[in-house]
Amino acid sequence: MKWMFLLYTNLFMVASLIADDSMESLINMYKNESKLSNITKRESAGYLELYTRDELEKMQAHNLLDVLKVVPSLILSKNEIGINGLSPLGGGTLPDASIRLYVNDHEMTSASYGSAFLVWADIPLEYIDHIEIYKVTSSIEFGNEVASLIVRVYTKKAEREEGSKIRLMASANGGYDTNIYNAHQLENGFSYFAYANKDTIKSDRYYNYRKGKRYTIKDDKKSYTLFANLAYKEWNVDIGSYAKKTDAYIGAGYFHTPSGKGIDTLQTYIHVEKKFAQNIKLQLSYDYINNDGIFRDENYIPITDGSSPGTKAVTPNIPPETWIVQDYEVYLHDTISSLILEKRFIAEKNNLLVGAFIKHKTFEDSAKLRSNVSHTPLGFTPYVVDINNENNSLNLYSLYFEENYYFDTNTQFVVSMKGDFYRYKKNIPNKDELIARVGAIKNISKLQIKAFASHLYTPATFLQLYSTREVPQKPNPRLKYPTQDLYTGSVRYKEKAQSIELSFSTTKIKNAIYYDMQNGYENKQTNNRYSIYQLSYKYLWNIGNKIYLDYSYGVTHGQVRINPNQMLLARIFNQYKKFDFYQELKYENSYDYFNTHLHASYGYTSAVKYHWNEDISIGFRGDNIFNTGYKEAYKRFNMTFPISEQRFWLNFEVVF
Amino acid sequence: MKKSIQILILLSLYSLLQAESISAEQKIYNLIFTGIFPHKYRVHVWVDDTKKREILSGMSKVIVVSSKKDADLLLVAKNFHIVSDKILFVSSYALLKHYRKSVVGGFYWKKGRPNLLFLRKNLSQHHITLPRSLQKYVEEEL
Repeated sequence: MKWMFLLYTNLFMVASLIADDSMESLINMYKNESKLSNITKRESAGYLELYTRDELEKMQAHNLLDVLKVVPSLILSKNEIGINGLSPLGGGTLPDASIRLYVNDHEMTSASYGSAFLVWADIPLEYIDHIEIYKVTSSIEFGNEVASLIVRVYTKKAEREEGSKIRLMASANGGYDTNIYNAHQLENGFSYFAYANKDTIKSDRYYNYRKGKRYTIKDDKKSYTLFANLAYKEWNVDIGSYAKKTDAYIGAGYFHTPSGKGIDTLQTYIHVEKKFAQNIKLQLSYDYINNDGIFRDENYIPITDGSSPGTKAVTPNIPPETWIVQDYEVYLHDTISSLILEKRFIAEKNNLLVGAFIKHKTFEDSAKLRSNVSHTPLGFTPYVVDINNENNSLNLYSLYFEENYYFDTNTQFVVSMKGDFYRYKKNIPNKDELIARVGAIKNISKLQIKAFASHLYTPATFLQLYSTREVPQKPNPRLKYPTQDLYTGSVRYKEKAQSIELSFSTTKIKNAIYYDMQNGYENKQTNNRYSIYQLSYKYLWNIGNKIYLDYSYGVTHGQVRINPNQMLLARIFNQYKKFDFYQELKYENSYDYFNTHLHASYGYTSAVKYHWNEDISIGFRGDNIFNTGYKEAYKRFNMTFPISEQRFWLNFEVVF
Repeated sequence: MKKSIQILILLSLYSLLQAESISAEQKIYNLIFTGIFPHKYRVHVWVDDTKKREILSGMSKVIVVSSKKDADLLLVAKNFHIVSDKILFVSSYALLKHYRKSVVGGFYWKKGRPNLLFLRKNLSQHHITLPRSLQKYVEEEL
């Protein structure tokens, strides 16, 4: 009898816990069930790393870098002039053109770089609802230009935000991040969401010495972000602008002795979307990008250019056809106009997307060099030279389809194909490229198996094409677009509260583009190959309490390893009464970068937030708290630099 | 006899455990409708939105009707031009403001989170007394 009593008691407790149908808990459940990320995510598009609104809020993430540094199997990096990139474990930084970043349906593209990921990688996040990162993808269902990594950020929606919010953040070293947004729905069906952000991020100071003089290395950033979404019935308009000034960081100089200036970037866009009957969607957009890089180094900056008189005789360190200057100014100006038309055919077992787009990209590049004889170790007289002064344009035509065929409720096949046709205005031969992807998703009870094979390419950017040493400068007609073959597979076991997933991907790259000091950008004659294995475990106690564990391992298949190839990432989200807690621990193993050995890193970041009431909260976030996080080294420089610096932030949020 | 009682208890516990197959939104509307109509086994609801209609259609205690005159309650999701003496409940803040003189309440998104609110004056006009579990969501005015 006693055991029967115990059984009933336990069952009642379990039942009451599961069936906690108080209105308050139901509203919390509804909030979780109706997350926007549940609507937008595409499981078939690649390996998805999802960062929900609730998670971003608990993390107290304030710009995209806070998220990009915790993507399993990817390493957030920063180059000498402070531009962020992503690298697969063990491998080099992914080409800019292979990473696509979207804000809602707008792709942040660029003519100069192929993708504007490098502009938007550090955007402030308060207007963002959630973030999806699709790894080893070639999915074309987002209507994107070709990519092997897609970062999609989705803004908050007026229909859910009605009201205003102010957020103020201040860091212990004097930086701040402040923003406001307002959302409103009118009775005539019109709604808007408007957002403005201003931030000043202050980096640590590092010092380099040459000839008894001290040079400061810093990466401060000042930025302004504006965004507005206007919606009326089936019309949707996004207007965005991101302007930022960043320091030169280590700079472009040979001896890493920067003497000021940096990069001044502005991208402004408008994106208009109209949905018609019969699942037809039309999108029109226009982007304006201005990128001014001004680098000063009194100990000289070597600039390779065919018009240089050559300095080979002067010193063996400096290759021929190289200018030796103290000031290097490069001005890039892009415009991109797009028209995208898509139709979706939905039947009982099929979901077919057919689409086409036209993108017109213009590119202007000019550079100015200045040399001051009183500071140069070489014997030139002072001069000012204009180099490059190039412009060109491109029409990119694309036709694509993606078919999802549901064989039965547990079996899905995916086939997609895309033809891209590059038509340049002058000097560059036309290119016709094809990408294709096939795959299947099978659910067997609690098991899900995914397998995909893809063939894709990475387009050469204008900057790569215009890097020859010919005078007057001409694009390189021999430069081929690198191709990639991707093979991926994964097995996931999922129960109600927990899931475990093992995934594998291997990428073979042919004609990879590399930079040669004498010839500019060239195709590599040998193939590159790298593979990534990832084991992920998730446990959800309840809506507010969960743990994510990810272990990933990269294999470079005989190539030199220039990054960590092992990563262990633990993220814990907790909620207790009026407190939210977030903790992340990231381990990366040791590695060598040319002649510098970098020790294993243990980055620990933590955040705690107190909700005074439903509308007011105050929080604290510590990044890289023990200053033991991942560091990078640079060529010909014996110092190492943390990518995510030790930083402590106070965070105040109020909604009204 | 004892065994059959035990089986009944186990069965009822099992059904309790299974009861969560409907969505949280459906459960919320169940509680709202049973709160407004405590004596009705099934509530007749008219709704002006396809998605909401699908949600309500999956609820055993709701009958979705196509004519307003057959309804016990009108659930309004987008229409700003409804003139009716029926009990009105809305699913957006803009509608709640628009119908504030007649609507009994709303379940809507505001400030990035879902909110539930009933208006005391309008409840009284329809002689509705909500159960204690919903009293904390009753406000004097918007």
